[in-house]
Order: sequence, then structure tokens, then C-alpha cells
Amino acid sequence: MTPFTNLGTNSVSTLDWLEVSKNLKISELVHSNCSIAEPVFTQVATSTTQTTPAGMEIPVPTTGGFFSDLHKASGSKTATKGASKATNVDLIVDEVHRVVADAGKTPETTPQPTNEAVSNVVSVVSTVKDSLLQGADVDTLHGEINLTWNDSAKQVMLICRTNQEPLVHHHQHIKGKASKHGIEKATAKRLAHWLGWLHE
Amino acid sequence: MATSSVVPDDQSVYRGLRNANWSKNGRITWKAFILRPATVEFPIEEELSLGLNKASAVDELKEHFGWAALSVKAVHSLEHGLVIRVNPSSDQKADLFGLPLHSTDPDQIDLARTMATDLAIISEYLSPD
Repeated sequence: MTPFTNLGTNSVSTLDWLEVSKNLKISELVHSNCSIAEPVFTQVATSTTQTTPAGMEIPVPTTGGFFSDLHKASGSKTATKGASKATNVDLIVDEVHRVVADAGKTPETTPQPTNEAVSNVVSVVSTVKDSLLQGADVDTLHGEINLTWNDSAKQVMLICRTNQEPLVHHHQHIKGKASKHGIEKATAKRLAHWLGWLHE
Repeated sequence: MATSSVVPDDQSVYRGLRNANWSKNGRITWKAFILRPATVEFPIEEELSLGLNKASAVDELKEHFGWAALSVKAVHSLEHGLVIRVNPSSDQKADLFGLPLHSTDPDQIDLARTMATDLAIISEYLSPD
């Protein structure tokens, strides 16, 4: 069995999805104290796969998270010594895997999000300061992947679809007045900005 | 075709929660108020289905996860131009008009998420009996 198979109906393979991360320096992605030089993606061997409702197999990260798997595969001493505590980005990517695998069972979760939608999530969140990512609610809706963060009267949402640039939506409820809201193209920098605003 | 009557402000309406993630930690989430895109099975959703009582809100669902109860006055008071009308084919049901249709236009997505979030905020979660 090849280590990677298509996640959805889109023609983009999981390997292509990983290419998104391949262009980034992984030490800057998640673990600031990680001493990885270059991740060796060809050595990544997910030990398990999960069959989607559509009958396709997708790789499932092992305990410790997807990024931890990449670290292990790259031969990182840091990662292999102690697959310590999973980071927030690990938790998010694991949860994305879970909700995508679970999609397609109800009208709201149909169609199943494609690899492109998944890679959009990864490419945006992977360079955001990890502590800002805490508390994300990860879900799928009508083929898109949504990450929602709430804090009292504020809400920030990352919306990742196929064939569309990721978007970040922000909303503030003001009692007795019209809510403040807006939407813009999501980049790691802009998502970090709005997550910082959320916790002000 | 005659327009159906607007539900009076002193009434409440109920959204049947057909997905578990339409509530979280005892609060309604924005996902309960998003219109569905067209699919192979269904045409695009143009209005949101509500019940004028709890039973009618869920009578077409195989299973449900509770209700979102909304004050009609609170809905009409949101500055979004939303209107709740009695369903022309059932006096036990209502429809919420004015939500943005499913779209790829960021401005429409912004409005749809904002209205859905505002509706979630004014909703009260009622757990299944």
C-alpha cells in the first residue's frame, strides 16, 4: 500500500497536500525549539489509515499528532526523544483529519472536504503562534472546513473551501447595537492578528 | 400568490437541531442558521425552516438534538431585515426569510456568518425531552 492515498474526490493527492508544508521550514511551523534541518517527507510512514464514507483511505496521524509524525520521520532527535505534549496545531490537524473522515454522513457535512481544503487549513495555521490557536472548534460544513474560536462576545472563524482562497471572518457582539464584523483573505499573519484581537 | 402572515413579535419560534454540532456546551452555534447549497438531493435552501412549537420544529427529523428557541421580537430587532412568516402549507410551521443564500462571494459569506452568529447569540438552547 502506498503511504498516501487521495483524501477526497479532488484530484490533488495527499502528497500534493504535503507539498504545501514541504515549501515551508518546519522548524518555523510549529515547534520553535525544534532543530530539524529539512523534513524528509518521503520517509513519512503513517502507520494507520482510515476509510472514509466514500471508501477512500486517508492517513491517520499516530499519537502525538501529524506534525509530530513528520518530526519523527525526519529523524529529529527532539521529536524522537520526547514526543512530548501535542501542540495546538497538532491537535487542530488531528481534528481536521477526524472531521474530514467523518464527513459525508449528513447533508451538512456533504460533500466531504477535499485535500485542497485541508491543505488550506494547514498552510494558514501552521505558522501562527501556537498559543493563539488554543480552543479551536473544528468542523466541516457543505464541503468547507471551519475553525472557530470564541471568547465572550468575540468570534474568529477560518473558512477553507475548495477552489477558493481561505477566508477569516471576525465578529463582535455589542449588546443593543449592530454587531461589528468583517471578512478578508486568510493568511497566517491575518489570522494571528484576529486571534490576538479575540483575546484582547 | 398571497404572502403569508408575519409571525407576531410576542411569539417564540423553534429551530430543530438536526445536527449535534448545532449546540455546544449548552449554547447554540452559528451552524444552526446557515442555508444549505444546492445538492444532488436538494435544491438550494432559500429560507430557514422553523416550528411555531417544539413538536412541529422536529416532526420531519429522524433524530434531533434539541431546539434553538428564538423570540420573534428579538429576530425582527436584529438589524438584518430578517422576517419570520407562517409557512403557507402548515400553520404550525414558520420560515425565516432574509438570510444570504450559500455563496462564494466573500461579502455574502461575511453576511451569512454574521447573521447566523447573531441568531445563535439570541437563541436559547433547549435540550431534547
